[in-house]
Amino acid sequence: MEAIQTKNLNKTFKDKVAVDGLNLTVHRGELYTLLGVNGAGKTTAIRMLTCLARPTSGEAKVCGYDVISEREKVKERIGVSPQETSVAPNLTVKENLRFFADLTLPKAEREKAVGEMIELFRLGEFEKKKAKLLSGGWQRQLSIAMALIGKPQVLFLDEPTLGLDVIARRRLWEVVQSLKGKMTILLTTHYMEEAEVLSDRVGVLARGKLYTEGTVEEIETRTNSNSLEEAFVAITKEAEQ
Amino acid sequence: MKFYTFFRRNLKEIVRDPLSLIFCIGFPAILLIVFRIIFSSMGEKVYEATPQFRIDQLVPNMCLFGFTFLSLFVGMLLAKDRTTSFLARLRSTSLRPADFMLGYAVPMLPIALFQEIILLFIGLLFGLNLTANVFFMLLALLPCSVLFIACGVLIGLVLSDKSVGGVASILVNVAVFLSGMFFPVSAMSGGFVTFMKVLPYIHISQIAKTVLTGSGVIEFSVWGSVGILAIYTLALTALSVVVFAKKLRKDNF
Repeated sequence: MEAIQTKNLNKTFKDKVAVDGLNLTVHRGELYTLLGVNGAGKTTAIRMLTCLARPTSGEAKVCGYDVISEREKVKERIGVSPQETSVAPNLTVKENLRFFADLTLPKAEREKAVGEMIELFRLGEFEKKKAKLLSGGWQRQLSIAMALIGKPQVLFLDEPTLGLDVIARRRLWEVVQSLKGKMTILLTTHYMEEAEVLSDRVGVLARGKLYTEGTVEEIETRTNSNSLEEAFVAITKEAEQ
Repeated sequence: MKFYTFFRRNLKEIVRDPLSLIFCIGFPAILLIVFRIIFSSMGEKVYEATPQFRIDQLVPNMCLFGFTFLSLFVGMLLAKDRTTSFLARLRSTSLRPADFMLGYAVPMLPIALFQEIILLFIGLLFGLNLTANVFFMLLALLPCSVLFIACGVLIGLVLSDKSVGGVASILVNVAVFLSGMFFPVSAMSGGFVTFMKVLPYIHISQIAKTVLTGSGVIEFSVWGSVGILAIYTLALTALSVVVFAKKLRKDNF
């Protein structure tokens, strides 16, 4: 069973086609990156896979469960870190983690999981600090820790490093790399370097369509490019024509 | 159980916001103290023309004034959770629609109760008689706060966090001017009074004052106020539940 599988998945908002016939397969334990410019349909695809938006047509399964008819089973198996840094601002770092642990884990596992997240994300020195007082980078780390605390089988990271400085971005990459193989991760980004460093496979989304997918090397070879950026620009230009 | 987890988070979010403490509790309390100091320096005769500033009328009115800020803070919290995608990430957990609705609304009840206790305590310090009626008024007013909470949930659902403040301020002013809080309704007549009586605010004030000053037997006339208020409260609560349920099913919520 694949971690994520979509068949001809579509999403239309009035006249705008946001996702157009998406056929996507993400294997268990894989880190798959959806690469695309702003408005390519990455976030809409994630919103459908995380049961936040209803597909207009087509089929989507996460861990073998349908995102419409078996949404509760899907929700029990996923963790989501949205594009915006969404933390509870007046709760401390530890309380934010505990809040999500209470929502997603059995009682006996909660305290241990909070400690593990604090250690993994090196949040120890801030654990009693209100989330709103953290820097943007640390807030984002906390936001991802909150998505991770429920031990999801599939983790969705929507542009996790958007707006972060180089140091904060590298710190997050380290954490994401440490998770590789332990769970399936679907990440969206428009940073080429991020896709190159982190991904097992990359899919290029443009105008809602998946134009190509494969390892970074396969995509470069397919487009006769010397870098992923060059390949991405060529694919996106072609899609726009 | 998940409702309780969400309830606790929302309660903490509100009580840890210094602005909510200042407006929900500090502002009505200061206003009560200031009015008492001003009016007690004028002698008893002043209450013949302005009975609404007598302590047994001023305390219920200030409780009503405090309630108007509940709309602001529940609305702000909900709208902020929407705009920061916090609500979206919660929707991807197994919280049920009822958990969301109750999780936002119920934490406002202990805040409303705390407001009332503080204002009654100040009232007692400034000459309010400690009788069983004080306790009955506390109980009678608490369900009235549901009207303001439902209103706050509604504006938090449909407005952005930046607009909630403005709209809630208008609602505060509407409640102040149309409840007879600061002017003697008994001395007024005409279309404006009729208009006031169509809205719920004056009825909350009426219920609270009747319970506080009554002999223990609720006058027949106050049941009319209870009826009107119940209609508004049930209608607004039902509307906020329907809108919330609808929004939770929406793609871009």
